[in-house]
Amino acid sequence: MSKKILKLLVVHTYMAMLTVPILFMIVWYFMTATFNSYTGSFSLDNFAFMFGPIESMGIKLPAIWPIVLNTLVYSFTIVMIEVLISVPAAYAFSRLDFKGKRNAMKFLFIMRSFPGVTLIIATFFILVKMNLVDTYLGIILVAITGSLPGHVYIMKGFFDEVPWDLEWAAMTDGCSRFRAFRKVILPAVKPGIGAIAIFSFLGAYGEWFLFKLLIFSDTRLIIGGYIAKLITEENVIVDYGLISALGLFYTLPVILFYIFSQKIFMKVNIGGSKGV
Amino acid sequence: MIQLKGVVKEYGNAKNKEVTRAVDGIDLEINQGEFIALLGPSGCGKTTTLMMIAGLLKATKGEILFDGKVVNQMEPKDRNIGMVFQSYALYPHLKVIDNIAFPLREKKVPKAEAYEKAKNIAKKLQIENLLNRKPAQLSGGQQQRVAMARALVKEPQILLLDEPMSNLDARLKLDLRDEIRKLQREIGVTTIIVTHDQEEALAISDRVAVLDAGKIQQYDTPYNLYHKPKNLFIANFLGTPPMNIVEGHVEEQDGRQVFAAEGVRYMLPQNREVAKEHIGCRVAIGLRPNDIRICESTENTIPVRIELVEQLGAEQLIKAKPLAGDHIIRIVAENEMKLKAGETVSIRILENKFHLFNLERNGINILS
Ligand SMILES: Nc1ncnc2c1ncn2[C@@H]1O[C@H](COP(=O)(O)OP(=O)(O)OP(=O)(O)O)[C@@H](O)[C@H]1O
Ligand SMILES: [Mg+2]
Repeated sequence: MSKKILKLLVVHTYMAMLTVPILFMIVWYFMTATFNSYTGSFSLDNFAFMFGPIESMGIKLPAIWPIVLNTLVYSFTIVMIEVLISVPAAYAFSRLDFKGKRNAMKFLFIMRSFPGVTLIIATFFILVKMNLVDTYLGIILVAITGSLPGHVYIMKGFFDEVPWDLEWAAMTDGCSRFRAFRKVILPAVKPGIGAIAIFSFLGAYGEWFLFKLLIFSDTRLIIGGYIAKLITEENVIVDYGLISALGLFYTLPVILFYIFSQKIFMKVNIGGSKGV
Repeated sequence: MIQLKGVVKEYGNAKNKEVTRAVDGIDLEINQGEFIALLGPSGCGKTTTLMMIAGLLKATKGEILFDGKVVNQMEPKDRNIGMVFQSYALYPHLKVIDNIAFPLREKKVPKAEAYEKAKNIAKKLQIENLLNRKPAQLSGGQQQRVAMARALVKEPQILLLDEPMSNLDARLKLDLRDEIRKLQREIGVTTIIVTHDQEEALAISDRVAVLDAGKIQQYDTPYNLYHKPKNLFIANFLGTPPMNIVEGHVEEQDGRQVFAAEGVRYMLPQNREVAKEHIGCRVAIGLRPNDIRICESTENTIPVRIELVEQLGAEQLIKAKPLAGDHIIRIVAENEMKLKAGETVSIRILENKFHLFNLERNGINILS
């Protein structure tokens, strides 16, 4: 047996050992969602939530579709705001000279690695004072403050990669600075914009903690918060079948998205000038 | 005509308030249609000068004029310049044809016309078969041509080339060099090329400005730079193998002037004597390796011992030491001469081919 085959064998065994438990969990997850735990036979009863409000072990859940809509509106709003702020901000950090840039960068770095949860009580009181508790505005402000620094930082990395020559070339070719940004720099950092858009979306889509804390009206919930309702004050999950079904409903779009977009992300390439 | 008057560029360092003077008072005049080179060692301010002409950097002091009009405050986009960067800086997301048409589209030239012109210039540069590729799918030489086409398509008033050939192999360089020169003649565009390759600069341009430490040391035709260097820096910088520089002084002897150094005594020809004020000063003689002949020992020759013989191909390079000195003198000799290391021979300096530099006056050439 050649060395190569041996190597492959080792690698595959190792990978299998790591993935089998995960696979097992996923299968188990599917089974809990689609089998009746008492009769042990296949049933879609757990998916009743898709067709109207339900009640399980004393916990009332409203109809899910308005919540799905909330989730999408909330997530895309966050994506829009984060992209619109972080792209120009990162450009400025990467390419412009302005007063206080170094300190702003330091602040950004600290914010990025700061565990925001530790501030949550203060945040809550500030929102109360500002009358922003139980509003989207309030929760969006809090969510964005938490994730924006990291995204600006990532985006800055992408701008740093774009050679100055490219911008200069555009400027001698008749572009103003802004137009050079739009026509040449922006296309060059597209993969970066895609990346932060996805990060923002996933961050927002997966949010539940802030909703549990800052939103009280069921009409404003998003799916994450909706599912969290099934966990009681005593941290007991009341209905495993239902929560698995909800979880499946929740994660399936993301998984499908990953499967279909992964090829595109693999193909993404940055830079084009040789020899720099 | 392009004029630079006392142009200074200082780079500030925000952190420690330090200022570096990259360009230190440059005066330069470039005539319409002229091809000039900015030549100098790394870090001497060539790129900085070019960027100020392009308007990508603002001069700290001084004036830049195009056709008599001060353009210091003019935006790069309004200066009508074509520029080729060392990295070529092709737009990676655009196909070659779109890259070339880009400047025209920015000028609001109608689409059909822009692409027509782009195709024409591409044909001229022999890249019409690459038009649908992305820059990443091109070789270095092809990228260079595309960059050239993109710079020329807008029929610029000035063409700026920043080391356009430094990433190409030697052979391709030679071909492209001739092509660029031909193209420039044909179009008649005023051109400035930045390079640290002296051969390239001398071969391609009408005049060369040699820069050192942010200052122009000499701005002259290639012929004059080589044969009439203004100072020691120029003499030293130009020519391969480099000029021999031997330090000594000029003294008077029996009514004649003699250059004297360790192991070297050379009676100056009467028509090339120096002014009285230089006598006794620290003076260096500059001798090109090609301007020294190996000969029989006669009057006014210098005896040397050969240390090393190197083959250059077409000729041989001799490294020799004066019998009574310790500095190496490089001599280029014909291959036919059979010379061996250890041999003692005499050398003769060609009478009208040596230079004398006064080291006490910044190495100024005192014979030209
Ligand atoms: N952005 C900058 N900030 C500070 N100093 C700079 C900056 N750009 C250039 N310099 C300095 O200015 C001097 C001239 O730089 P320049 O790029 O013009 O040199 P060059 O002649 O083009 O050299 P090379 O042949 O290496 O390209 C150098 O000493 C360099 O360190
Ligand atoms: Mg340079």
